[in-house]
Amino acid sequence: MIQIQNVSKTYGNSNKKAVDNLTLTVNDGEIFGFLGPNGAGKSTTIKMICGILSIDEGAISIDGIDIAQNPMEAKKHIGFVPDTHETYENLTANEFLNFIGTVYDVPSKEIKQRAEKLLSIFELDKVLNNPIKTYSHGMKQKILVVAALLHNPKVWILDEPLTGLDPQSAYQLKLMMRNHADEGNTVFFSSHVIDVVEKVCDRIAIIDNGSLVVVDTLDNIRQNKDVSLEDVFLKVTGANVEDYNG
Amino acid sequence: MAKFFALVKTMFLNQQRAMVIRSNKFKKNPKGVSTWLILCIVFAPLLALMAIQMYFLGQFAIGTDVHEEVLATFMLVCQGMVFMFSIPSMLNVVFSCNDAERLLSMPLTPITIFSAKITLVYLYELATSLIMSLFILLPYGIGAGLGVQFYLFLIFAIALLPLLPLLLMSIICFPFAYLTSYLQGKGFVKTILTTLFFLTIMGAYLFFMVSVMGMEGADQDMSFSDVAVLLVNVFTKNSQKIQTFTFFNYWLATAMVSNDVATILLNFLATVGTNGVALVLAVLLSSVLYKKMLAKSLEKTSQKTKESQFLQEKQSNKLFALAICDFKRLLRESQLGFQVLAMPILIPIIMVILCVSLTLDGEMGQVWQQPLMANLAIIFITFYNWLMGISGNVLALFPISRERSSFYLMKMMPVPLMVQLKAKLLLSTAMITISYLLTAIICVIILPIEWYFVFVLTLLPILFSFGSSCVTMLLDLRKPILDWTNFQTSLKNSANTWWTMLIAFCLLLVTLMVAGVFVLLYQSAQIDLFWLLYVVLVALGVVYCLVAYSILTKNSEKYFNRIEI
Repeated sequence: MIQIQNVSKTYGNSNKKAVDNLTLTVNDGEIFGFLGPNGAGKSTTIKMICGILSIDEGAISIDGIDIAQNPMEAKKHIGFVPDTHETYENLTANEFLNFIGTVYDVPSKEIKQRAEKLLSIFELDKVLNNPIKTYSHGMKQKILVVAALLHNPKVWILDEPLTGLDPQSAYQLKLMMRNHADEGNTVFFSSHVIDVVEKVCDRIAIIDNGSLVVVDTLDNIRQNKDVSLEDVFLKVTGANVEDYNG
Repeated sequence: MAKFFALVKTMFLNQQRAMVIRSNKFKKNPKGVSTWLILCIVFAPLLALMAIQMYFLGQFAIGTDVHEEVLATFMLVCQGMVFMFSIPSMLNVVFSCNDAERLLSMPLTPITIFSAKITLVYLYELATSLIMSLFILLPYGIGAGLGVQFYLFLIFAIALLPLLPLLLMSIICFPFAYLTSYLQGKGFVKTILTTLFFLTIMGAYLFFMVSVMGMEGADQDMSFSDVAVLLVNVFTKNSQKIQTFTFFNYWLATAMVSNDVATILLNFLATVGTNGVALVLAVLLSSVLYKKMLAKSLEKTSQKTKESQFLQEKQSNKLFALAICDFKRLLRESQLGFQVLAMPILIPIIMVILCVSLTLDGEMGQVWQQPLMANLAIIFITFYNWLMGISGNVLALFPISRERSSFYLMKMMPVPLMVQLKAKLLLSTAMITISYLLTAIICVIILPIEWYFVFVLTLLPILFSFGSSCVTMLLDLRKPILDWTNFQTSLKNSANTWWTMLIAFCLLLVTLMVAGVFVLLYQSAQIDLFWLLYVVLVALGVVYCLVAYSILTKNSEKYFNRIEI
């Protein structure tokens, strides 16, 4: 479970809050979609949940552990897939996964067992000994997904995870997200691909200008089945749809 | 040409703006300016000392016929510095750049890209030329009372000095870079080859310098005037060699001091011609090879292998896992790996040269007969070794900045910050220990000193280096540069390096004062307590380590939390 309470964040000397008084609860067993236009505050929120950015005001807890008070323990419960594909590119996948296993305290026997299973799902088992920098974007994304799941985290946070993935891998990833949530875990998922969010997520939040605009189940948000999530998104974020239609 | 200038401007601005965003809790202040001001004030005496020596040399050269030789040689020293230190920049900025994909997608010719990149390196090396010219050539000219044309051509010399070594280096680097572009995915092999390439170039350069100047012993008791007279003699004796080997500088120097207009014009044109030939050669090479090389560097080789399976590595504790992971990444990273690997090799080589010069026949060789001088020489070697180590150890100088875009993992890992920092300290200390140990063994073999000095020569610099590593780590945590596209141009002249040197000089001052007490004791009462001096220095080293480590522990978390990505 992720609990975000009255969280605010301002960058540098800016007068504008990147995230403004955000309150949100993501329950166990659900896939939570986090939507918003560019610059709305999605990545800032995710970075604060993961403990990468400090929180100016408010509190975030992961499975009841405050990320600011007890970051080491909280981080052990998180598996994070960043949107940048950045990792230790000069290591091979084999070396990188062994390293991740060690720092996340995965028991020695489990590292191999879990890595082999995850690698075969994404068909990475044949390129294990190549440096990660030689991988394509999609392959790097896959290795980050494997690394994020290696320690079997209770909370899985994915920032634009489908970017660069081939259809098979994207399907596998969506399936894994569903299974992970069904096992009683939490999946927090940010994306610009509204169709995917619509199909995969149990609940959805839309953030705009740092503030939460909508948070509910898909059906409640749409109210009317003829209205698509895209229409709702464009409406609540204030996009001028008429401009697009000419 | 518009594209060329636009490209140079863009790359230059991008490099200069490689800064980290900090949180609002720490508002911008003019500390950056004050830092540089303090550093300038502190290093000014050293530069002033150099300028005074050159002024004296100029005065002693009045009436002799060695102005051209002196100027040509000191230009060569400046060019040598540019030449040697441009290897990493050349390989990383010009030949193995991070922006190759973006540049190749643009409607730019290989010559434009190559020229823009060379210009970028040139602009950074211009600072070296400016400092050398202002503190070496200019005071010499004033001392020697050279005419107006010297000052006019000095401006030309400042602009021209870095050009030839850079073009020569690019021509030398072309075949090497072309060969290594086939080593994608074999970072470690590339690092080894780059290190060997660097050592070969350095060896050739040293051989060239010795061939030009010869080895002349200088007595440590010499005054400014004695040194000046000695140098004038050296230049007179080696005049022919200098004219032959440094003809490119000799022509410029002749244009600077000659009284004959025709000679001035002719030599000036010859200088421009030499640079022009080098430029044409470099551009010709770039038109043929450069695009191929850049394209090759983008090729990826993630070929699937048949029998690949996950190999469980022997699990170590987090500290060692972090250090080993860091080490592997560095060795396979072309921009950093070569510096990491070159350091343990380069320092002992330089120390061999120093040791050989200290055992030469004559007055330098007699140092070891006197207990006072022998002990001072050991302390000198120890601290010289230490200074070289800390100024060249990129592992210690930029422990945070070198993380670049993968810095977020440091924030993300469920590993306490101090454990991560300890792993970095462990790695930098381990690497420098290899270097110091090798140097100590070489010293004991070459110099007439007892075997147990290995411990002194290893332990003392390690202790002081560890302390310095803590300081530089804190400096880097305070102001990391995480969005660099090129390690060389972004970081090599950063404030970290200068602050480290400044702190090292202060510590040296303390050490000299401590040593001074023992020297006085020896000279006034013939009491030989040098063993105690080593004990005191070790104690000083331990105190420095403890204080630096404690400051790091207290402040690291605060600085780390400020860094926002």
